[in-house]
Amino acid sequence: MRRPPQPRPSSTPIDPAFVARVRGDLLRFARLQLGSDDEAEDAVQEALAAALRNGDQFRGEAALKTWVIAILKNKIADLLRQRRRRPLGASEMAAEADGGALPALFDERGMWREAARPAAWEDPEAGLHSDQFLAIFDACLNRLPAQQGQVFMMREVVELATDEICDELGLTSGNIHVILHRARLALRACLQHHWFAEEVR
Amino acid sequence: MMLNCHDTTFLMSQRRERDLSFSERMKLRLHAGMCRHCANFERQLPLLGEAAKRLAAQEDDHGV
Repeated sequence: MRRPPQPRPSSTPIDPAFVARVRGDLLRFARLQLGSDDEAEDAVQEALAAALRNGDQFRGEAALKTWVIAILKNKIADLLRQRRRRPLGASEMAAEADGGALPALFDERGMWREAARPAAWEDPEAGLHSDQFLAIFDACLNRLPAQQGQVFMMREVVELATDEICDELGLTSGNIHVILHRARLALRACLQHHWFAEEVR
Repeated sequence: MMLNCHDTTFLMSQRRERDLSFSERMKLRLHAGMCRHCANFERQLPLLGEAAKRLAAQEDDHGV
């Protein structure tokens, strides 16, 4: 659907500072999904360029940002689909999933190591309303191996079902279960260490 | 047979993606009933998904 090319002098020009600000957010988002800095750069660049081409149709930066994110999500989905058709992707990605070793949080009998034991958390719900808590959670998320972060976000934020994630990434459901378990163990441990432990003091 | 903590938390995690079998549920309850660390883990699991959603929502309207 094409609009007639009309000059729209009434619309506000796009503020470069806004673009710079949004760019950082988009990059982090793309990096999590794609697990690759270069691909994330390219996707964000293309999404921004596409959005700014029609940017003057948007009233206000909020609408524009929503639009850029929508374009970026499409780009990421395309890239993930292309990857799946590339034969070596699957073996690359499965490597992490089938490592038979127990995560370091457990001893050789599969019991919690003392330092890793999940403690009771005081008022965990309160954290959800705190920007500081979310910033720590964000940092924990960024410390995950790329694939774990990607699968965790696909599952918990995009709310894809296991078999959809399998299709997208060329992994088995067994792989996905292992990856999600590891991601959750690591996130929980990171939060306990950096948020809930601090609180006790 | 008793599950260890690793296998118990693995089942707890999978429960967010699939229905567990009857025997899996029994083994899980048996272990979690005696191990408060795993019981804590189970209680904290939903918070991780919740936090991820909040974070994504925050990024959607941040910087506006």
